[in-house]
Parts: sequence; structure tokens; C-alpha cells
Amino acid sequence: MRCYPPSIRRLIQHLQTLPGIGEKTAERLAMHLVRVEKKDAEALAFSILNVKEKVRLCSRCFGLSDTDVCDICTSPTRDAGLLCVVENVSEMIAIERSGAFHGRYHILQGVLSPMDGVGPDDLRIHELLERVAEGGIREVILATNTHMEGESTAMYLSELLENRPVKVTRIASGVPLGGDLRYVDQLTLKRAMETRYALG
Amino acid sequence: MPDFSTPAIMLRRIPYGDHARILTLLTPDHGKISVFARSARKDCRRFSGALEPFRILHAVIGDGRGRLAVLKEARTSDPLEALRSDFRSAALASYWCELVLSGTEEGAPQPDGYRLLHGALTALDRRHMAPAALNILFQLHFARLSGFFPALTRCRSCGVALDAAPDAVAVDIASGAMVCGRCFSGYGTHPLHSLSKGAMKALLWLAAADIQTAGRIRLNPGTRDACTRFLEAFIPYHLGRRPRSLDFLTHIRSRKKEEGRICHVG
Repeated sequence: MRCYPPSIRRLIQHLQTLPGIGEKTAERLAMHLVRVEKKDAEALAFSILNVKEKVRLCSRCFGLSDTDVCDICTSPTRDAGLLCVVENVSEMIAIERSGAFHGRYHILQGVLSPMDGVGPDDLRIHELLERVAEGGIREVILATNTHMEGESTAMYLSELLENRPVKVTRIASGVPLGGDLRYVDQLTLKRAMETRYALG
Repeated sequence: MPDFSTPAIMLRRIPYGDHARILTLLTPDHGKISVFARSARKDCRRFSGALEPFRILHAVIGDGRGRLAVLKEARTSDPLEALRSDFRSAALASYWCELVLSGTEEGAPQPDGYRLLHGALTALDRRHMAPAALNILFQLHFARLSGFFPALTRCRSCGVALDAAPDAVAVDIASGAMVCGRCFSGYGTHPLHSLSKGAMKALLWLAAADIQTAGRIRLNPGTRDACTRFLEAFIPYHLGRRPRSLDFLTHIRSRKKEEGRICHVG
């Protein structure tokens, strides 16, 4: 890397700190940035600064937003009575991409994980209870992941919500489309058999 | 190291890079062992749900390129289905796994430690005995296997037997020895944990019992809570660290008490 001038070396070092970027990829990206037009490089730099300045957590759902309350929370076309509880923004985005849900979200910012020292006070559970207490929500869908921590968190939340005037549901789990039964774990198969449905 | 297959219990899993995990397993013949599980986070098919916390599995382990062995195959032997969907049981299992992680030497055979953890997890999942009593039983047997079982039969200072000691007794946390009420005042600066004679006797009964026998012993709530408090102070003291899961356990116990329900968390 010594053969590069100091400015490029600095850029490579910064790019290398990004997840999944090793030295060779960082070099390739840096050389690309050297070659692109100045306005494109400025646009990239501006976007990075803009993200750092503007993006914050939505004060209602704790998703990412440029404003105090995000577009999903303010949208009049979304069903305000349906609240989907997810672990992180990436799970919210996955559900949004599916197009299957038209309610609002609550992002916990993690899951209960006793061994990692993550307890209820480290998550946005208190805020979830406040949202439910405000009224207007008829169903809370617990869409945490189906790993052990996600299941435990869902059970914990369902217990907290059991005396509230809302229906509490858990997302279904089963065999993935295009999946091969031979490679599906026994618990998933058991649940898939238990929740089978009639055809026709 | 040639490939070997072994029963194992998942103690801990740490993400490594974007797709892999580093796992710590407890095995009977190879003890605590750390393995590298390539693509464990990305490829659901390869390990098909076997790499969950406290999962009892059958693992095939081989030589890695670096110092870490590589997990080649993993198949679930017991999914502990009830345990994974009950956060109280999961918190207890986390606590036990953390104790084993802290108190077990890497690579030394652990047939008794494996049998203890396997038996306790299975009993917790199948509800063979009350979780609180099982928690006491696990910790007592773990302390015995780890070489710091408390000496509760005689006063460390004057030698009086537990049965003949006055009602007020305590345990010296550092030495794990019983101190009778007459010797409290001159005992020095060691931290003492007060514990009733009844609680000490219950600990001695449970220490001598296996899960089947212990399941028949009925502890009153006061004795059960006193034994739990003592062991959760005593064992972390000797391991030199407080398990993180203990904070979560304490939280859910206090929440239960606030709600005025029966606290059945271990």
C-alpha cells in the first residue's frame, strides 16, 4: 500500500473499516473513486454526511427516519390498529418488502438475551406498553425471529400484554417455499404439521 | 486432530464476520471445546436449526486451518421445545450454561459435568421437578464438581455440629464453611451469609440427591428462596465473576413478586 500517495492510503484505510470490506476491495473502491468525476464523489460524500446529520430513530416506532416521526407512523393509509413488533430495522424492511403487512411497526432494538446481558430495560418494551396503553391498537403481532431469544422475547411480551385490551398474535413458522423437507429441522417440521391447513 | 463425533450441549455462540459463528460446546470426552461453524448464520440447511443456545446435539468436529476446530455436521438430539418458548426456563438455562462456561477448563474431559447439565436441562424442559428446586440442585452439584462445595456440617470456628448449633448460623462465603451463632462476633472480616439451620439441612439433603429423588423433596418457599440467594452469592464469588444471566433472573423474579403471583422462577 506504500506505493499509493498518502491521501489514497487514508481513503483505503477508511474504506477498510466498513463491514465486509477487506484490503483488496478497499483498494479497488478507492481507485474507482479516484477515477469517477468530482461531482459524483461529492454526491457520495454529501450523502454520507447527510445520513449522519439527518437520520434518527422515529420517536413512535424506533425505526429509521429523517424526521421526528417516520413516514409509516404518519401515513393515513396504514392500519393504525395493527402493530407489528420486530427486533430490528432489517426485519421491518423484510416485512415491508413482502408487501403482506399494512399496519404499523414497533422496533424493539434487539431481543432478550440473558447471557449477553440484554434485559427488558435495554429494549423498547416500556415504549411498546405505552403505545398499547394509549389505545387504538386492536392487535399486536409478535414478529420476533424464531430463534430461541426471539421466542423467549415473544413469550415475555405476550405475558406483559395478556391483561391489556388487545389481541396478541405470533407469526406462523413452517417449511419455507422451495424448501426441501430433508433439511428442515425437527421443530419446524413439527410445527408445520401441527398448523397444517385443509386444501380446497 | 482426526474428525470425531460427539454428543454436545451448546453453551455459547458468538457471531463471526457476516456468516460464521464461533461456538462453545460442552462434550463428555473433550470437555468444553470451541469450534468454528462456517456459514452458520447464512445457510439454514447445513446445520438445520441445531445451533441454538442449550440445544443438545450430535456434532461432527474436525481439524481447522487455524487453532479452532471446525464444526462439520450438527444434528439436534433433543430440541428442548418447552424450554425454548418459556423465557423463565431459558433464563435459568442461560445461567447454568454461564456457570459451566466460567467454571470449566477448555479441553479437559467432563463426563460428570456433561451428565449434570444434560440432566438438568432435560428435567427443566420436561418439568420433572420445580425449576426453583432444580436450580438449587444444579448449583450444588456444580459446586461439588468444581471443587468448592460448602462445608455445612460443622462450625469452622468451634467445631460444633450443625444439629447442635444455636439457631442463628451463617456461611463464610470465602471458605464456604458454616459458622455458628456463638462464633459470629469474633469471626473477623470475612463476608458471612446468614442462613437458617433448616436451609443448611435442605442444602445437604439436596446435595445427596439425584434429580429423581430431589423431585420428591418439598421445600417451603422461605427455605427455597434462602438456599437460592445463598448459592447465587456463593458460586459467583468462587468463579470470580457474576454471570450476566443472574441480573435477568433477578429482574423476572422481582417482576413476579411485584405482580403478587407465586414466584416459580428458579
